[in-house]
Amino acid sequence: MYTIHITQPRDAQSLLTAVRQKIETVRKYEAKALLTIDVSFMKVPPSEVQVSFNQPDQFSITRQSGVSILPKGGLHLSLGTLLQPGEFAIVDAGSAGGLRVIKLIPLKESGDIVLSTLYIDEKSLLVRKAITSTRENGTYELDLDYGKYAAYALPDKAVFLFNTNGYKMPKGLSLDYDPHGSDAKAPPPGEAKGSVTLAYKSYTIN
Amino acid sequence: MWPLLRIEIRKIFRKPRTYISFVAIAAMVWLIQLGLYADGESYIRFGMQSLSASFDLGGKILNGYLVCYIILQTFLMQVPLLIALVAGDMIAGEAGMGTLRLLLTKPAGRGELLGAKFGATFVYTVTLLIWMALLALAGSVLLFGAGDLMIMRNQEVDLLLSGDVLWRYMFAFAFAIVAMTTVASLAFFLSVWARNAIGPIVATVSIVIVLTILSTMDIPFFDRLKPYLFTTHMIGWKGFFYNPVPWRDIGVSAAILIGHILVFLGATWYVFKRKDILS
Amino acid sequence: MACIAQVSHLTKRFDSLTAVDDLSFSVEEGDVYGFLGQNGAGKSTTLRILLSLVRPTSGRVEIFGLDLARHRKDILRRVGAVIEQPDLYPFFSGLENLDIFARLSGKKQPRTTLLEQLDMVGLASRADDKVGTYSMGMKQRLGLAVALVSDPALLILDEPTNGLDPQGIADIRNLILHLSRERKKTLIVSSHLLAEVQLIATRMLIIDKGRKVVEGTAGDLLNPADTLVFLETEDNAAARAFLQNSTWASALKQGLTLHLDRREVPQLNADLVAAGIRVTRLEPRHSLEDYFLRLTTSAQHVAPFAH
Repeated sequence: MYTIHITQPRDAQSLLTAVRQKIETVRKYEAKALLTIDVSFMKVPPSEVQVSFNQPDQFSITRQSGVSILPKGGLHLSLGTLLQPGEFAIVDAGSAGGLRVIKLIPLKESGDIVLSTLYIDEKSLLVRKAITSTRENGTYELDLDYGKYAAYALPDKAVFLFNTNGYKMPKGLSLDYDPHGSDAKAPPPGEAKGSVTLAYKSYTIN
Repeated sequence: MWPLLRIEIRKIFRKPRTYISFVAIAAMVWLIQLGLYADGESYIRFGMQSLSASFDLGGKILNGYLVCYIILQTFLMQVPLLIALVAGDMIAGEAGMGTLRLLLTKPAGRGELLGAKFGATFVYTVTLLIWMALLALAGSVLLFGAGDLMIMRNQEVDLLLSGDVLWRYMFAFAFAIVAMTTVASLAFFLSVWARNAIGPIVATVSIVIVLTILSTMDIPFFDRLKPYLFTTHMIGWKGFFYNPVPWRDIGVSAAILIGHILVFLGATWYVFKRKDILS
Repeated sequence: MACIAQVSHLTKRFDSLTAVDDLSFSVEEGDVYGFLGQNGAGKSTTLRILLSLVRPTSGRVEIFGLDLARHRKDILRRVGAVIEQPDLYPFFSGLENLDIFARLSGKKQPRTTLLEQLDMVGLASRADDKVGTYSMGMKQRLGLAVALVSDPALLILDEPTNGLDPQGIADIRNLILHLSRERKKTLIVSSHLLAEVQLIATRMLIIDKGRKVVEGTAGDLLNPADTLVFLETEDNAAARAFLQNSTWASALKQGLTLHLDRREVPQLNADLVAAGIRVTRLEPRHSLEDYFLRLTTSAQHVAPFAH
């Protein structure tokens, strides 16, 4: 077991603090959004969802009615956890594409998160992308686009990328309609990446 | 031909055997509805195993639309038997009863009589499927409520929103009528050769079972045969639940089924016209 | 008399079996035409051809002057038939069966008319009972009612008394006579019960192995020179012994039955009396049955119009 003592660069630390403070101006919100799930072996139409958030990290997505399909382990759309002081060691990894790159390494080894990399727009104090590796649920990525609600650090669009295990239903059970016999030739979809996009329509803040 | 058709319909619906089909469908549908009502969640969990490894599934997955879909999928093999039960009896039954010879001494032509008999068989098929639609669809929606329909295909999962399901079922039942009419026309054809309905009924069901196995088996040798088997196309009703709906494929399947119907009926007419009635 | 049905050189082969072999005959208007033959002689096949249930291999059938092959519908509108045991729909009542077949004949009729027709065959009281509950005789009578429902000009009855008791047979016979005499129908009646046919037929055809053996009136078919004489005496043993040792020996059959020319009967009587044998019964009989049996089992065919 190693204990890493890293002298946290003041710039990275203060940047994160500023970002967190901006985010924390919103204690809670309710939002209507259009949820689109994009996985190679799934055809799910976009659906209207209700997104609720409460500080620091209580995030939920609900469909008023109907079936919801969400990646296992939930959509990690909240940056609250990542920005909690004292939970992560901060490593300044420079810049990429005009964005500051900051790596977060958990100080406790018992959590699920192994490493998280944030791409931050320093000028607007907004996190544009977060790539997080976990023990249980693989690596996922969060891409955030901001617009009207940028002042509150609330995105117009959030894209959550995740890993799937693939899917197969035995032919004898599914009894598909297959007049060309084409399905037999294709291999079952194996491990693949999927994405969930939330296009926010409106926020009710605090 | 209308008087003949009315008489043939009257005959079908006066025979006690006809009602076996309606009772059987009711029993099958209610059994499945009962089973799913009692323990549908574990059935769903089992069916969704592959998907729930990577996803959290929430909401009312077990709803009337899914129950109806499960019922239809379960009865792929059974409904043809119920169709054959009546269609196979149309000519063989008359021969066995001894009424065929009396019928054919009346002025109606043999072609006219065949037309009326097949027309009545078609009416029976439609009635049976409407009965099934009422029980399986309306009944399930009443019991379980409507909701989104999740279709688990071999290599794909389709989610159909609640408002997008009902029209698909309308088309699916319409297609099922064509599919079951194909079975009826086969049983009808076999009925010409026999003096007892058992033979045509068993033969029809056996043919459907064997061809369905060939249609669903994954053996490369049979892949070449599949597009030509009517059983491959009979499950075209499922296509209405795919996203997007493969309209062209379904259209071709329907045309192939109609082609089979015409061939079977044509063969029936040809044989019956020339047949010596010795029964 | 108009010719109602004309059959010319009719042949029917089933694979290797020739069921009807170059058969020709005609049925006149008003005939009760007896169609006779043993079981398997080809009667049923012939009648089924007339009703277009069976296609002939060759030959021609004309009914009401129309070719059956081309005018089937027009002909069958005017024909009624009972073919073997009349099977009807057991799950319908007698009245419903009659109604169905009336509609099929193109002559839908009101309930009252149908009931009258059932009454004519003695079934009015059972009109609403399912045919499945009827006895054999009742089904036969209903079959006749069905045949008559369209008021046909020609009735074809194939073994109409099959399976009936003596009273049933008598009822059918009386009905046939009524239809012929009162309602002026032409009938073709096939049977192997020759004694019955003999009582009703105006003309007859006997077939054997699909071939015509003989056709004509009953009177024509019976040769007075071909008579069976039944003898009874006070001493039958002595009578038999006398006949065996006399010129009558060749005519003597079983017991005291002789086969001789009718005109020789007085001489036989005289010889018996002269021999001291007291005759109690001397009965010459033309039996179509005997005639039929001999015709169809012997190699010889007897000319129908010998005197």
